[in-house]
Amino acid sequence: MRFNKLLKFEIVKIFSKFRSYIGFITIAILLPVVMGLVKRFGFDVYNSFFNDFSDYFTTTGTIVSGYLIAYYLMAILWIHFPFFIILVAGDVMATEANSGTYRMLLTRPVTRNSVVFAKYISTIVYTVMLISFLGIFSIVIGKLILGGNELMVFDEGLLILSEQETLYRFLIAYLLAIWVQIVVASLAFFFSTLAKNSVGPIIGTYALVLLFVIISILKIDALAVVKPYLFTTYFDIFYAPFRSTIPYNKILSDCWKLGSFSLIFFGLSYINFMRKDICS
Amino acid sequence: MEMNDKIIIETKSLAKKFTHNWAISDINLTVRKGQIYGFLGPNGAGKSTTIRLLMGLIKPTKGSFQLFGKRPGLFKRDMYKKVGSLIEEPSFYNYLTGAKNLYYLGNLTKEVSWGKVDEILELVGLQKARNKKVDKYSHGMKKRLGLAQALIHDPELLILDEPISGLDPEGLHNMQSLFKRLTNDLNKTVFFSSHNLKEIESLCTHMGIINYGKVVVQGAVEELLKNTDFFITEVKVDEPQEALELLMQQKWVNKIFIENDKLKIHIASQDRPRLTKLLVESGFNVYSIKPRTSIEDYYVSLTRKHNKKNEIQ
Repeated sequence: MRFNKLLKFEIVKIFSKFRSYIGFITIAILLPVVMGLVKRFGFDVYNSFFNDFSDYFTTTGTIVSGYLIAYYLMAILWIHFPFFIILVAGDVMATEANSGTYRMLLTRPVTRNSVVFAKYISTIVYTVMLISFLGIFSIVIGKLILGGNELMVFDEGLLILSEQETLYRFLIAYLLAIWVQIVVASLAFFFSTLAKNSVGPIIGTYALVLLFVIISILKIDALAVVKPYLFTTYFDIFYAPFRSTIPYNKILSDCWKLGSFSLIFFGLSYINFMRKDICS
Repeated sequence: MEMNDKIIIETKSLAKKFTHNWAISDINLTVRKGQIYGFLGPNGAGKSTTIRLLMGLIKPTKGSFQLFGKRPGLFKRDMYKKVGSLIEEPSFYNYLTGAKNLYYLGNLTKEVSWGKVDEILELVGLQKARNKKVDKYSHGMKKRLGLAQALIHDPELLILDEPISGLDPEGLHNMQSLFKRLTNDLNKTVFFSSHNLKEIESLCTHMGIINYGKVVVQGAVEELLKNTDFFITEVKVDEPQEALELLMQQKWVNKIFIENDKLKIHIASQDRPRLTKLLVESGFNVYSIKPRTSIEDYYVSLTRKHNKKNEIQ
């Protein structure tokens, strides 16, 4: 009962800060603008790509649909989108240490155990809400502005998905995107337990994510040894549902690894917080 | 005020070491139900460290403590349902209103309704500012809100760290009145630290003095002061010798002598009205009655003695 109240309080705290809405506002502005520009000026990259296949295909009308742009916009989940998650997750613990509000919270009959769980769950709730908003909004606004259609993506060959199949694949993709971003949130959360203000955890986590992404995408043999140990190596898992056959085994394997990273980061946060002396 | 033998706070050889320094060592305190216990000491003496230990914000390096006869632990904090606390400067969630801060914090202890929030805001005089975000509150308002969050769940024990420091004279007066009302009318057990010696003397039934992380002395304020030369009331009358003879016959006068034509009388503070009445009714012209800030002298003498001892060691 008390845990539910604590969790509610943590969620209220997160959604009472302006920073929590920056991601939502950005998506709400960016997506209609992008879709509108595509509608007005077309989507040249994709069209020129199709021109290369003009000897094999005869196309009428446009293959550009709201789903296609929504698919392309998923690329922001790599580098740009984690920033919005980090902005909140990096603040959750550190800001209480900085402002001295731990004195108010931890002098109540609540255990630190429940505090750290409530804060972590509320961070995950925020992450789920933000990614879900991106997913739902990009598909809905895409369909409204550009219309729904079959989705054509290039995998090993050209894959054409029916509208129903597209929506199913988007659902899996965004569930995986949530799973990926929870790792980022967990890392920021861990750094947040170490710091006394949120600037360090935010910059530190984002810098680390950037560094790891760069290492993960560089095709240098010498880096192959470290790649399996970087969570960013499994970041592209949310593209897997758009293969001709969904590689469920690989998805499960990568999800297990990503889950382990989240668990490790949360475990470290937990240990650190339980042992911490509150002196601020 | 009703007091009984039930021990509310008990510390046993409580000690805390930060890196290389012992902030407090061998602290043995006993606070019983109904007591108003003043915890007195200079800056850096270890008052806040002791209070943080009691509230579970930091972990003891040695020793232990009990609240309401139970030892709190990392996963055992039920006894804090009966505790309200205010530690150092009150810090709130500045982006929430005063009322929301109280509502959510209070509900972490027990079921608190919005009606109860309004009631407590009324008590501390913040009803008009209930919907203001806390970052718009003045220092004094935050202090009062701090006291409100300590009281919202109607605790049996109040642990307050420097509750009136940094307030302007008006704020100080309001806070003192409120504090007296709470302790006198609601029979709370109160443990509070303060630099204000007069406040300890006027508000507390018991006190402990801490210096260099060690408790120098503790006990009932009256008892502690009765055994010292500092508990004096100075009286100037027209016939000091005759007044001396009269007062020497009174059982409630512990000691009396004349110095610079003034009577120096050792009596309990509650006997001062009795003294005035007796002198006036006996026909003496009373020019002045000055209670000395006895506790201040006592405190200074004890801490000086302790400082010297520490220097020698």
